[in-house]
Amino acid sequence: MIEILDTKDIRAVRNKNTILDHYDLMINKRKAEEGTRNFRSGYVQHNPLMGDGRDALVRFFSKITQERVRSRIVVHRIIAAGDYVWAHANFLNFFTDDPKDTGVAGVDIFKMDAEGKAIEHWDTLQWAGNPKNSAPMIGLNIPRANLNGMFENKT
Amino acid sequence: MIEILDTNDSRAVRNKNNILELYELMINTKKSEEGTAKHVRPGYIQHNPLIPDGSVALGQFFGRITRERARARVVVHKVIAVGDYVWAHVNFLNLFNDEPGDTGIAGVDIYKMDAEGKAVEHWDTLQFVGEPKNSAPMLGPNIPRANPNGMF
Repeated sequence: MIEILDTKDIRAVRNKNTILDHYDLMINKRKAEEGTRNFRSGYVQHNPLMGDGRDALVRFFSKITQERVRSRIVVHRIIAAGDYVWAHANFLNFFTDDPKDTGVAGVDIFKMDAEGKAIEHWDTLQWAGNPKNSAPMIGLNIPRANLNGMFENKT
Repeated sequence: MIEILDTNDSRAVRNKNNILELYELMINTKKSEEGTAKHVRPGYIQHNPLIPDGSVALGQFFGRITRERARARVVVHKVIAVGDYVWAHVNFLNLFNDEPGDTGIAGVDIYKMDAEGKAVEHWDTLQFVGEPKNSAPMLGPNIPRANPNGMF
């Protein structure tokens, strides 16, 4: 994981740590209640599948992590400045138990308040696919036009 | 548009301005090849699965779309810049159709810049925006939106 922030900016460091802790607890450790302790009850949700509020977030992820034993998140890079934390992540085995699942590539955008609690969230998500079926949102079996993968660092 | 950066960080300010100008040239003013030649290194590493490596391939990709689609445009909603990175939350509109009511694609672009402020690597995540009655076309048709907040 690459962390992109000014390490002297204590607000950004705190907020980044809060979001990494959130992912690890809510998804990888399957403790959604504990993992959302730094989320406001009135959290505004822009992901179209979830209702507003911390409780809706807990319900959504509790269901998935209980149903899908392999479900997990890998954070590849994270940037934080001011009240915002943005993370580029791979959500794996959320919708299938196939060990070869390449999952969903997403960027989450969190807005935090002055106390470091999450108050609003946006995201963009796409199927990661694979080199022979690289853009399933557009069509089947579109080969990848480069050798670089969705997350790797090449420079 | 919300700009998220330390305005005392001259590198971040420059990089952010370069990416905003890249969008404007490459898409909104339909000067794709000019924009990519100005702000993107020839050896640009591309992670978007539909586009090959390099600044020339990027200019050609958007050159073709912006010539074919008269309404093609991008609206940048938020941009964050720190160090060598610029990330932008954007809405690509009318890249694949000419419908005035198109809701387009929601994306986050991640650019890594070099010391001179040119883009050297790019990742993105993209999804169709849909609309409140068909809010998650990547998962299935006609899934209603669970909140009243929109994508941006």
